[in-house]
Amino acid sequence: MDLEQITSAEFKVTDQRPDHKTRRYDRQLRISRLWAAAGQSALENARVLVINGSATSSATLKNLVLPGIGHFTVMDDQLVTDADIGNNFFLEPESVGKPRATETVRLLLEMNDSVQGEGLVKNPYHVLETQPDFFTNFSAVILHNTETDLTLKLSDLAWSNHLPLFSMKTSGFYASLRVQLPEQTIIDTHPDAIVDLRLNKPFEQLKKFVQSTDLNKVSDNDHAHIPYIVVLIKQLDEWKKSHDGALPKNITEKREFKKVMDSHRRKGVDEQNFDEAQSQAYRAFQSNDIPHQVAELYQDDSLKNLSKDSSPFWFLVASLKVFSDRHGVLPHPGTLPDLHTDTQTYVHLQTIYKNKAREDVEELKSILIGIIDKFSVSINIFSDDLIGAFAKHSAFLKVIKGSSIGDEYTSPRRDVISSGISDEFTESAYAIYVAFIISDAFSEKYKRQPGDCKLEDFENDVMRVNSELEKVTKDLCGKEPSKVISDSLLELVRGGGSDLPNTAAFLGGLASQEIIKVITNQYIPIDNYCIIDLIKSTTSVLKM
Amino acid sequence: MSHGNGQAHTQTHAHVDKVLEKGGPFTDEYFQAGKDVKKFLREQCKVLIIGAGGLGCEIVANLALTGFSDLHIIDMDTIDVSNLNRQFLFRSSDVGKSKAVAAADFVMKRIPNVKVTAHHNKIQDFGDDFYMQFNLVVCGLDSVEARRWINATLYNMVDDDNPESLKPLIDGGTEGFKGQSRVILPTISSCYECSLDMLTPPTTFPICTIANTPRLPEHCIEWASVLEWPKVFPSKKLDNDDPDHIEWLLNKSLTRATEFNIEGVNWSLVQGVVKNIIPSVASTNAIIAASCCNEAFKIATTTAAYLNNYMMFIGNEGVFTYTFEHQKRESCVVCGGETMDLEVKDEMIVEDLLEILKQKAEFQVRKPSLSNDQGNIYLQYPPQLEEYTRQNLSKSLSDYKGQTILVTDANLPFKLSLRLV
Repeated sequence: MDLEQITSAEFKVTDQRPDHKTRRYDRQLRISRLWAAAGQSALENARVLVINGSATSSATLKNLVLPGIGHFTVMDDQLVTDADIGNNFFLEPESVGKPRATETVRLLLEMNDSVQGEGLVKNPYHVLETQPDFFTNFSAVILHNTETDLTLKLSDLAWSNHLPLFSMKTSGFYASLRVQLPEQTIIDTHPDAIVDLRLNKPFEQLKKFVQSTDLNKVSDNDHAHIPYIVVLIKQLDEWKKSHDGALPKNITEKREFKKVMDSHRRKGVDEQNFDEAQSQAYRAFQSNDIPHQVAELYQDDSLKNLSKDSSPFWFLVASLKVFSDRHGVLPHPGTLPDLHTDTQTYVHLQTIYKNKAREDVEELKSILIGIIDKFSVSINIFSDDLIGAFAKHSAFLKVIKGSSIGDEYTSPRRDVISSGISDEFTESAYAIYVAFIISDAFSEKYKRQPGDCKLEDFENDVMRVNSELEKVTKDLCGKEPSKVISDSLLELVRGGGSDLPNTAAFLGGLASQEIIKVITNQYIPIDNYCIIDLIKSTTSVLKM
Repeated sequence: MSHGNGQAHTQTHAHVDKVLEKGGPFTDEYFQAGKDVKKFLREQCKVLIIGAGGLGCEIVANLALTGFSDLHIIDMDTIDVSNLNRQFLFRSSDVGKSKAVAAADFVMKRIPNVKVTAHHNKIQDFGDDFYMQFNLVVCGLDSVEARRWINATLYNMVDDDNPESLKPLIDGGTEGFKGQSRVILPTISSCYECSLDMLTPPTTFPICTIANTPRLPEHCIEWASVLEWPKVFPSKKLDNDDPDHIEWLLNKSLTRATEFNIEGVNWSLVQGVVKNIIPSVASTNAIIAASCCNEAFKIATTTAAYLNNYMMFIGNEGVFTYTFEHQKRESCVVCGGETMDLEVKDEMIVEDLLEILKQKAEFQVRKPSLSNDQGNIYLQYPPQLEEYTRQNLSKSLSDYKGQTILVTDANLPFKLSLRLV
């Protein structure tokens, strides 16, 4: 009998085979490990605008088109030059002399039929004057090597319209990415593992389950299959009784705790559950209190100023606060890691945790209904999936407040810069940051990047930037320029605002990853400035 | 400047030329800016790319744009539809074609002056003569075995009297939003084998759990693939890429899961478990490939210092890179060269030694064969000798104490020398 016959004879054929689209995106959809179905759908509904059809822009768009972004627009009024086809994979020799916007879009679209794109042969300054609303119709605005005044105008516009904006710069081996975000509230931050065993504060059902097991009265085989969670809770209970309710505090007490626990092992029996209890004992030493970063959220102004215009996230945080004030813990996530036991016990224990999670979500929801009622907000904007996901991830919520490029320009973070430049571990990254600022000042004055000139004029550009070096360094760092700063500036000018293929690919990869995080509202994006040094092969995140 | 078809594109390299026409403050003092370095990069330097998958596609495109014009690319795989979400040189119409050939053709079509030679092969199909022709090797693989092989091969090729025989190996790897790139100078820096213990061990489930106490959907899938498949189809090998086979496994695992009240078995998970699928996205591949190609460019031109020697990249939470010098491991079986002492217990038998060699993070020899100065102790191949030497498996290790035992594996081009103590 061949395989097909056996398959259909023994079982009914299931109709579970993935369709073409699922197979195409399989590697990024994989079971919540990347961004899953919800993220994919957010990506497919997103529209991004990119200013300049450069190599870096194309490299960024490539990584958005491949995973299936909904729509992208490239705005650029330049024609393709020889230099463009030399560094941009999404241009070809035949593109020379044609508009860069339409040519890059044409070749980018070849990669994915389900993505739409448009090349706009327009000058962004002109559109800004005649049609400023145009820029606000996007999920994100992306800039590459735009002139300072354009960057400022567009970032102001994005800031006041609560749109994310990503400003990229490259010069030789150096690159930077400034992420300007409106308030970003993230539920699914993708922590490595969500484990909450409640060892220290077992809830009623869990307590009952633990009490129903008597370590001394079971057979050797059953004893070796008691979940380590039960072993730890019992042991912790004993410990607290003899220690005024306190947890093991120091290394001596923790050793003592583990030693007593080991004395319950059965002689001559291989007890993997006790091995697990030993290795997981550290979880029993942790309090189940409200995590620090969640307690901080409870102090946030957005919570104090809750109004009918507040985002669903903040209503959920308000409900969470009531819940945790009431119980002293967060809602249970409902997860149970694998542990050594028999199937029946595992499934039973899993059900206990799952039921607890379900109960907690119900309670959270009823608290929520009570709160939103006062603000005449409808429960319809809170799907059960949303409330469930919020409860499950409540220990890992993240809020990014964002800061504007305009503010950074008019009032630089002198405190941050001067302390960053004085620390030997961060000096080099801050030096490149300062070098970019000097370079921006140069390009504002001369309408080109320093070093973007003939070889014989290079020294002249170096002289010009060096004449700004001392003043800017003293202003930003409060001290004379160090060799690290002057070398970084020289290296930046050597790059001459160029877009090296590998620098473009690196920055494009990094920027697209951050754009995806923001669009899917998953993972934690850069907050808010990343310096890339491809001589040292390092990246550093600064907060400006 | 010229425009349009058929004319010379004289300014094509304008961007890269910025860093080749002058040195910078971080450039090595021996760097000679100008004509010669451009000529070496664009006319003489020959680079081998291993892997034409997620990383390989990016690598071949970047190197071509950087100005390397003589590239070779090896890959034994053909294109699958699930590759299209990131392997950007392939289109739906390419499904089923050789990855190496499709990648080479695409890059040559897009960038006219580059020659990419495709090899639809395994790396083991070639010998030293083949590898000796290259100046640099850039690896974008997901296979640990293949990396160990090329690492050991390049190490063995180094001839102290011939500087040309030292081939820098640049290696990239990714998993989801994480990755690493590194520069290996065989015999000089730490090698791939030196860092074997840094790999996360693959998830394995104990057979007794799979057979008796399944708790997770994965346990049910393993039961179907590891225990049931060989029982029902003793003569048929499970093909992870055959949807009929996956469907059979799915139905089997579902039945078992239902029986044990376990939730979560579905097509995607079955495929993920049996193929050990690593999630992969375009952005991380782009970052790691760019880093690898940037190092290739710096090594070929000396326009800036190259990575010494390891960059770890983590992109889940903000962006984090850790760049450091990975140290040689003295006991490395490739570049350590010393006989290693291995502590064994008296009650152990030869079969236990095989297990240790497979399990221990720093060995990971899958099919070890053993010999000593008296002859063969145990050979995996050929079948006759395997049968003949099998009787030694039950011998006590105490019989071999103090002796030097050579461990070999047909898949790995090196010998491991052990002294049992």
